[in-house]
Amino acid sequence: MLNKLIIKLKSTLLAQVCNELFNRKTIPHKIFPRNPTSGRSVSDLFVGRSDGFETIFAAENVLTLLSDVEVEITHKFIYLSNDGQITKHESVTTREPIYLHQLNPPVEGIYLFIHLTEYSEKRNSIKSSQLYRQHRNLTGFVATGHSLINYVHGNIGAVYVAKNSRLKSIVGQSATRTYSIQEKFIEGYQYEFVLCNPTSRNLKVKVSGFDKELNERIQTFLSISPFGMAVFKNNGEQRLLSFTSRLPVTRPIVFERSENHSHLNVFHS
Amino acid sequence: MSDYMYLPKISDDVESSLSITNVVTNSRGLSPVRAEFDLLILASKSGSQGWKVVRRIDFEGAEVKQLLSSDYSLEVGELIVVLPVDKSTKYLPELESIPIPKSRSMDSSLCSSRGSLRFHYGNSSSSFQSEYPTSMAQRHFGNMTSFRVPDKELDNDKTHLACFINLSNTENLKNKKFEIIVQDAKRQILDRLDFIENACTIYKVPLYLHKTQLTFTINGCVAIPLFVSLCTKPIKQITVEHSHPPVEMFWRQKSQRVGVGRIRQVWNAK
Repeated sequence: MLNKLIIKLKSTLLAQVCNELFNRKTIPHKIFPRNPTSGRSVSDLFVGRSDGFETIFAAENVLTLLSDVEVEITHKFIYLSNDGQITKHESVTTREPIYLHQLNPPVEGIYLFIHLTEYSEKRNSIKSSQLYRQHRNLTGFVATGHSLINYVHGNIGAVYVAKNSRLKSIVGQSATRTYSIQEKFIEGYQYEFVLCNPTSRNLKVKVSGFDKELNERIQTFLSISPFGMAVFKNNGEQRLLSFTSRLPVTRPIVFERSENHSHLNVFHS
Repeated sequence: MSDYMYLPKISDDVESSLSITNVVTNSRGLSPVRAEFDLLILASKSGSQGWKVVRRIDFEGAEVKQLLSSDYSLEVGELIVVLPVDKSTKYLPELESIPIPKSRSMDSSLCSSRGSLRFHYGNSSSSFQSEYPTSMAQRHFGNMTSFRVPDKELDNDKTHLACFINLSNTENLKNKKFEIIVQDAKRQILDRLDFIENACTIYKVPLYLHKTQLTFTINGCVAIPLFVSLCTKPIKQITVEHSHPPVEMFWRQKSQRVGVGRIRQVWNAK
């Protein structure tokens, strides 16, 4: 009885807001607005690639994964240019629990996209309106001449399309933080660090390389448009790399390739 | 918040390496900062409960240390546990339970410091950021539900492995037996295998199931699932990725509670 009362009290809006306020330093999302999108679906800002790559997206059908029946879902893919402008919409309707979608970007090279979902059926026991779906799914990269799919998770995001058809985000910029890469770089390999800006303000990023005493050896500044991206390249000679910005986590997606491109490793650092 | 790291042996012809830096991953300020700690390397004592201290490593300045599975003569399914510890704390050569790792955070910034776990196969390698949260190792109960992304084709030259990492504080072990249940999208049970604690339990996905959407569940125990794929043609290659827990599919506490509750009800009932 007491347990049920505690659960009920915890589920009130006031309790949720208090909990998020208490833990706000560790929550990357804004506490308000509570219900920013009627579609009940927010997306990470994903990276795709078409220059010598195929990009495959593992699109989850959340209601099918938690129902007794297969539920029809419409997956919406919205492609963005490097400066954060919407360039193409694509949608697929399916019932599969995890649908492998081959992306068809309008441009050649590295690009961004978001994945939102919509349900029309009302007969499932859990209504989609009860659940805020957060799409952080796996993006797979297949390099030309390779047969394996290199999957990597979405990075920080929570992007959605507002009523006026403009992109919005529940991630904001706050205190300046420095993110350091936790990887032993391989000399001679090519590294491309893709940095995204999942916020609605311009983002400045300082890229620094360090020696053993943490003395700065290289420094580059990048400016990224809202919902845009930038790429920093390095050949693995720099042992310690850091990215400083006002994002909660300035964590790039990294493409690691050997000179002859026989080796590919895609990871979030 | 503190985390363990692990270095598993997943196959005879696959080696692994773990890269750990003493530069704090994410912290407030314009420059990176260094955390002071040593690395303690532990191996599970075969045939009995408890842990053996294999090595202790300290850092010289800001650097990335790399540990190799080939240095520890591991059998397939065994793992080495790596944890940051206070520089001043002494440890006996044999321990009854795993010590609590030292936190490497400087402030409340998101994203704890982890290790980069890389699997090597031929000239190919694949990595991801790995950690095993202390809170998971101390749990007496829990469930695991993990949805595997199916392959696009049936290919004899490919091998798909699902690996389940578990670390349990040995004081929590009560000789309970757990199993991993393999189900298809219609919730038909296709396979069951014994789940091993403080180890890496490996399931080789049979060829006929490569294109099938599989769900792996454990009732009563927690684990971190890793999905590894290998191919021999046109060249030897390997890829790895971990899967997020179901809570990551939902946003805001209320949706998380309803959604995860429903997933446990649907998938962990058997």
